[in-house]
Amino acid sequence: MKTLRYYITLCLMLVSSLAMAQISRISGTVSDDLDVLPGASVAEVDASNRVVNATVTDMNGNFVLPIKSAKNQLRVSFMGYKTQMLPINKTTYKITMQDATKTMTEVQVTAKKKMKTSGLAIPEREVSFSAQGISAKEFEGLGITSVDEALQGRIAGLDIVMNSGDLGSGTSMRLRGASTVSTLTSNEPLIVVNGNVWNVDLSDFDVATANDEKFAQLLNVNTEDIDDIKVLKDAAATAIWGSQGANGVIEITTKRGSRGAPKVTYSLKLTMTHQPDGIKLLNGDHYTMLLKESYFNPEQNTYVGQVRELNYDESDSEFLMFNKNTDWVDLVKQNGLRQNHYISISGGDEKTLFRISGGYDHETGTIIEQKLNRFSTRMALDYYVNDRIKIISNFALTYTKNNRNYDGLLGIAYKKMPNLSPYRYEYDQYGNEYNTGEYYIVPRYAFTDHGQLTAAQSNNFNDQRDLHNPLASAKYAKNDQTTYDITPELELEYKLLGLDDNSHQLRYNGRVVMNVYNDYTDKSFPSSLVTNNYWDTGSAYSYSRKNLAFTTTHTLTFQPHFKNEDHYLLAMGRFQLVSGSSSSQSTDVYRLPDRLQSVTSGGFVSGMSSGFNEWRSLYYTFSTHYSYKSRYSADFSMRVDATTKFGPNNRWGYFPALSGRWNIIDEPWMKWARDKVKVSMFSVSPGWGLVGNPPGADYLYLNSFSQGQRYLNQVSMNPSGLKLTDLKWENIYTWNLGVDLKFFDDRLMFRLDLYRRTTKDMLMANAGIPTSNGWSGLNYKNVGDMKNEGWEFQINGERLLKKGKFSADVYVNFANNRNVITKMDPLVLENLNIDWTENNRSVLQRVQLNNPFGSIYGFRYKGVYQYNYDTARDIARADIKAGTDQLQKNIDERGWTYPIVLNADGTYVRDSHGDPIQMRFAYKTDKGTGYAFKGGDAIYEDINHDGNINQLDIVYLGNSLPKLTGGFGFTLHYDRWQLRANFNYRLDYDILNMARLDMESMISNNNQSEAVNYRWRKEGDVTSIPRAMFGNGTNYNTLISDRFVEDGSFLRLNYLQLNYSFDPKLLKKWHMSTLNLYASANNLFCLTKYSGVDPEIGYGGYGVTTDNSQTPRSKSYTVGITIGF
Amino acid sequence: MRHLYIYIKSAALAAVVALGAASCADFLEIEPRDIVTEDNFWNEKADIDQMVAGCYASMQSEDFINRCIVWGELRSDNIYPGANVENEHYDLYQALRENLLSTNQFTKWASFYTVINKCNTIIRMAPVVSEKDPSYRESDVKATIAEMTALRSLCYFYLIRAFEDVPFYRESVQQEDEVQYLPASSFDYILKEIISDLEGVKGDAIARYPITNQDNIGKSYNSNCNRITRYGIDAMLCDMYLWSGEWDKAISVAEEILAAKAADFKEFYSEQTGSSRSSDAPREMAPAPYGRVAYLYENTRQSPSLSFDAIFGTGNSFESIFELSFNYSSSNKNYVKSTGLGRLYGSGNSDKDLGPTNQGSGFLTVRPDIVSDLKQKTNAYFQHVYDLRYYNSIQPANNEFGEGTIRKGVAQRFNIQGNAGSADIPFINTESSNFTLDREFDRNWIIYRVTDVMLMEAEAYLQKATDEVNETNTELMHKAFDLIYLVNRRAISEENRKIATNAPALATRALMITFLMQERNRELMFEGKRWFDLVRYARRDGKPDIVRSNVPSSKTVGGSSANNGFPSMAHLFWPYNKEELKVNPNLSQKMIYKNEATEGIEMNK
Repeated sequence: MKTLRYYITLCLMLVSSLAMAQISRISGTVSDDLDVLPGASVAEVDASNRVVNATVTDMNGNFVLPIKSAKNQLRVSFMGYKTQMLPINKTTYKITMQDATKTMTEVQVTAKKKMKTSGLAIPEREVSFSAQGISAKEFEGLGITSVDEALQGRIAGLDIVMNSGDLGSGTSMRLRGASTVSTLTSNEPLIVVNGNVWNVDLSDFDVATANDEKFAQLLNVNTEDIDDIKVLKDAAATAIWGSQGANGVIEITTKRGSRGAPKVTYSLKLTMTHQPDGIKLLNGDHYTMLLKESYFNPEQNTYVGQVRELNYDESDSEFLMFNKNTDWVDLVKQNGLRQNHYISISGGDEKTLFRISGGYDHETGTIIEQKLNRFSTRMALDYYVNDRIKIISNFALTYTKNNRNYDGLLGIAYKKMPNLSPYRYEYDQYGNEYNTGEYYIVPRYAFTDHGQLTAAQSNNFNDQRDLHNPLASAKYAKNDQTTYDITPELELEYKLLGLDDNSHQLRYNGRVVMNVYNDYTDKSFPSSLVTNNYWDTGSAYSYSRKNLAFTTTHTLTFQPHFKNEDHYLLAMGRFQLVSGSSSSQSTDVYRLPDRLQSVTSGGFVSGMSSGFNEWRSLYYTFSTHYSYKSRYSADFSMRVDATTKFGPNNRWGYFPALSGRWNIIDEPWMKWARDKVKVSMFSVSPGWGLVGNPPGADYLYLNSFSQGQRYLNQVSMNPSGLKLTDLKWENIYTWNLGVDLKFFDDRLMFRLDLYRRTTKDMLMANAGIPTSNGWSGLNYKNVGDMKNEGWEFQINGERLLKKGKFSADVYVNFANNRNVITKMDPLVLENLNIDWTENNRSVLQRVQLNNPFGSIYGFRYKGVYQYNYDTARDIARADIKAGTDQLQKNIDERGWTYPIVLNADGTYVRDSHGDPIQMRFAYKTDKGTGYAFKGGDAIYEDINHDGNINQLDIVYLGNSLPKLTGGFGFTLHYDRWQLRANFNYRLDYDILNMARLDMESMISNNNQSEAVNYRWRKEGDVTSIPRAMFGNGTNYNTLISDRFVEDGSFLRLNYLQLNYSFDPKLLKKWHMSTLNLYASANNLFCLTKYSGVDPEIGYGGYGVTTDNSQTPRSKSYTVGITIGF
Repeated sequence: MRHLYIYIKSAALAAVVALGAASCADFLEIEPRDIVTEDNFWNEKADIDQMVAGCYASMQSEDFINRCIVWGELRSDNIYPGANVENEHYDLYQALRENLLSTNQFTKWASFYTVINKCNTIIRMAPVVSEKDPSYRESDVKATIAEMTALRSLCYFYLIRAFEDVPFYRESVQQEDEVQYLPASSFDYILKEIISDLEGVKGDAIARYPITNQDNIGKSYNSNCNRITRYGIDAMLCDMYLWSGEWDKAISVAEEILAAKAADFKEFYSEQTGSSRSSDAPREMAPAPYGRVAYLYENTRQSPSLSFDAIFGTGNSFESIFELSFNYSSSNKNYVKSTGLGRLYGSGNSDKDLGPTNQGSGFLTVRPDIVSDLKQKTNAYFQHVYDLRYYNSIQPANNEFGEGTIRKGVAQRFNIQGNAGSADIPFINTESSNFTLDREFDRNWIIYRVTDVMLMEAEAYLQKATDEVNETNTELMHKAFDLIYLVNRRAISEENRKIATNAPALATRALMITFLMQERNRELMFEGKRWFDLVRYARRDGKPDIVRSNVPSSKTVGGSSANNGFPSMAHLFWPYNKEELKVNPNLSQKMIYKNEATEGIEMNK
């Protein structure tokens, strides 16, 4: 203790003696050639230019400055004068400043334009991988809610499809085709915001349906905050993202502050949205007539159609509610309105740059009672401690409250019987009916005139009763989702060696990012709307989930300085740790009294669950870039991933990438092209890389056990996974060849990319094994290989046509992708090919080697049999008697159709009695008779002419993978006016129109499309719509056939925008810096032959695109204003 | 100098980064919270106990119970298509039409093999655990192995009765490289193997589990029957011997069971008299010489329904030997509701997850001439107007739940009202509260009970006898008759027993066999026995005639076997599942089911 005190004292004494020996204060005057300079800045700065102490000269140019250390330097600066650096070696200074104008010499700036990705900042003309960017300016002022809408049609090879027009339903994206068969491995590209991956666990969900979440992630970035978007396409570009970037990467950079006086911007966008008209439906009168027929036909008995719902029987207690013509679809649709308010403040001085923004969006949907509120804020702060150290802090928060519909209202509206009234009608005292204004909920029971309790709807109509009244459901049932997304980030940048390009540079960057994502769902359904049983009353559901993830990243970037400046080298090493956890819980209660909406308000708990998940991963990245004379470049990168998804044996995945670029234009022998043809860039860049995918589950490498149901009060454990001993990473090898050609100082640009992506050891979930092993299958298995080949071509032209105040920019892009399965475990392949079942609507799923995904198979539809079999038989018999050939003539000459068997040459086949043979469906010699076709039934082409429509008559009908996708657009400038247009298209792909199938099947009580008014009703009718037959098993009229396979090719005018920005000179008078006005229209038209509402439909299972009557994408009109101060 | 400083700094930084890397192996080890991995399982007796409970729990799955019904009862003469089955349950409907396709979900056997593999795994691991946990003694290990062998054998027994030949193995499959692609072994081989397995472990099995009140919340005395006991194994063996034709062995194991039951009665009930007697206790013992069987059916006029409650309502009755205990309540989700039963037989609940949308009736219903009024004397099986089993099995009255629905095994309680002794036909109270099983639907599924064993014993006697008329045969037939009669008599309400004794004189063995089959069906109707009984007789005959003569052809309209009415023995068994064939190259479809498939469609572009 004593010694310690001694040392402290000694130290203090030493310090004070040192200080005494040094200069502690200096003073002096600052002047120029003529006079003293008041207000000049005098500062003590340390070795790295950090200001230690500072002052300004007074009116007489004098200053006094206390000094911390004589090792520091004195910096004297004044606007318009050359800054002086002086050593601190005396106490009094007399400083003469020199006019900067006099000292200025010509400076040649040789800085290269760099492409900023989260990897190395590589000069743009040396980039050897395939990436495409889009600047935020391109979509300013559009009525879009998220980035993906802005990207649609802009990036070659990125196929973006809207999932549906519902608020918050998102898009599905495929970059260069699907890479895997697994439904559990997502095919969506990785989204990176400011170099950070959104680490939110979605494992509660089936990734295939987690588009909402993906969308949330995009939605949480306000489009106004975005500065720049880059899409990384090939493996050479994405390899630094390793297993995360297997499906491509979309990098989003947000805006940051800039030096200068604070700038305030406010913008307001008002958008009106509305839904295009869907399929026209039957009205009440046509509907009841259809149903009567539909009930009659299978049984040939009028009795079955005698149900109170269809009878317009005035004595019925519910008569007034079943005699209307309700257009349910019209009732649930509305015009939506979206307001986007956005304000930002940005600015900064020498040391600090900042930008703070806030946005508030309020949106009402195109379906009644849908409402979305969103508040987002983002703060970016850069603080330059000195020339070496920079501290960056980012903070982003998004709060979203989405009041959704409890039921799929549009779906209900399409099905609900149109003769039903939405409101209760009653007779007043004069016997006139009036609308009570009360929603009519079809009761389970009602009283008849005799006071007896009886079912209010016929048993056959239970399904209609269970379709909730959409108006009541919209108003009283609740389905709210609230999400909070918070991302704080702290970053430190330290330049360890030289500060500029003339010395070796080594930069350290450390970053900690936290992702907080919480979401809450509250649902309730009031008892007054319950129709399907009489004791269950209201129900409520609540769900909450918390997500928390930390990502720590250390990056070292090295840029040596070579004496020979032809050499240029960049190298980066990165180490990243991610750890996160999520927990969720949900509660379901039922039997709630009316008006109680919360799970805590009582009732019976019918379900309670909770989940917890934890994940960690670890990544090493090494990346280097070398170029010689900027003419030859080579890039190499290596990423090493480790994940908890694999056991110790296969835990590490290695993902290398190699690419190069040859700027041919820089070769001396290309001088003629530079000078004469004005070629500014001509280069080729080949690249190769490997990325991978881990399985979507943990602990597959161990036997695991989970708790099961109790037996006799004994907790039970069950084996929950078959231990997988040799599971491997799914690897994706990519070759890419890019060719760049640019003219006129890069104003006209062509780029061609050729690629081949080979997925090896594709992971598939739930691979089958014999269930006699006691397991339903392997959780995951490496099952086979797949190949995606294609090309992308883009043309960009900036200010191409220029004439006076007029100029134009154009861009076009095309992309093509061919997908082939090249190898597949034969047992798995067998298993994937689900058998065809002899049912309406059943899709034959085939995955075949050397064939692409997404093929549709089915029958060929040839219309409707005009006549019954008996009619044909009678004619045939008469023919035999009379010796004529009337039946054959009818067939050949009049084209009449009978359900009889025809030979390949068109002659009908006779049986041993001479009668024609009736056409049958799925006839099997040893098993029953098969359905015999009758008049009014669908005609399917009997490909093999065996008189039997069965699986042997199934043919290839089309494929859902488009041959060509892309977009084009232009911007016209005239003075301060701007007109922008963007189109996107997908060509030559087929859609299975299940929506239309269901609307024309006439097998249930659901309302049908107006087209069924043209159905076959009596013998001789010539039509393409078969007869109405109630019941799924009664007929085979809606088998999958080319009747429902349609070409979905379309060309859509994505947006059209007119923009005017006011002259700044004029604005100055109003103390404004910018004022923009704009109007735009989204989805103005869509050219297509597709009969459904919108051919833009997402990918389905195994690639078959199926129209399941999703809410179509809405049309919208936006006006907006941006004001800057 | 300055540079050196910076280099030191960067070296230090690199060291930090490297350090982070060094500890990464630990970083990637996370202990899961919601599952247990093999690293910390199989350590103590409790792990074994929990796995054993898991075996029983998986036997309670809807898939399992459904198959017990569909394989054991559905194709028999008792069952007809019920409400909405055509539209709402395609596979069931096809099976009811005897249109057995390899795509039918009831050809899937995974729920049985899951149990088999769990049993295999426990048998493999029990000795390992015993080494780690000294409290898990050798006799416990043996008992565990006996219990698991019994469950496994029972599963195989179901499988061979449904499919004839199936893959057979006793090794546990715990990891990918243990997966087997087995061909089917023959019925006889498997039967022989499981019989010898059971004979081997029988002595190790526990005869009676310690009774704790916790074991049966709301259930009656006998939780013993909820797990495999020595007598459970006896009952299985008795059944299997009837299939393998070992009559003496069948008789001897049946006798073992009856003796044990008599001892139990003495121990538990002989002291109980008057008001101290629990309401569901057996009333009395049968008179000598069959003093080993307790009367269960209540014999007072007022409430003959108590016996129903004891056996089929509350469950775990005295006469039960092995049944799966369901014990569900909405407040305790850890227990299971018997969804399988509810869906197929009807639950009195319109809840969609408990049955077809048409409330109250199941997807299956009763053959019309079994429902028909007993007074009319046209009933195919129930000849006696006061045969209580009729009222216990079937809901005959026309009520809101429809006519002729299955009630045994699904109803909670019946009230038989009216004066059983009077001319009134006793009828079942149709108050909905008696049927409202609600979400707490938890009837047990009975696999073996005493009357079943008695009738099996009777079958063994009759099979042992020959058609020749001699003293030995007469004695055997007498023994059989006494057993059948005893079963018959206890089901007829007391007042009317005297009428029942006037059973027809059963002179010939053939008549006796018919009488036995009818009695068995009356007694065990809807308990998953009838179809297997028919198949057993057919196998014994080597021809399917007995099935053809019992199952009315009107039942099988448009089905595969229907046209020809069970043309061969092979038609009595199910086809293998299509999906299973796809993933198991060594298993090939049975000849008669081969040509149905959609084989060989090539759809190249």
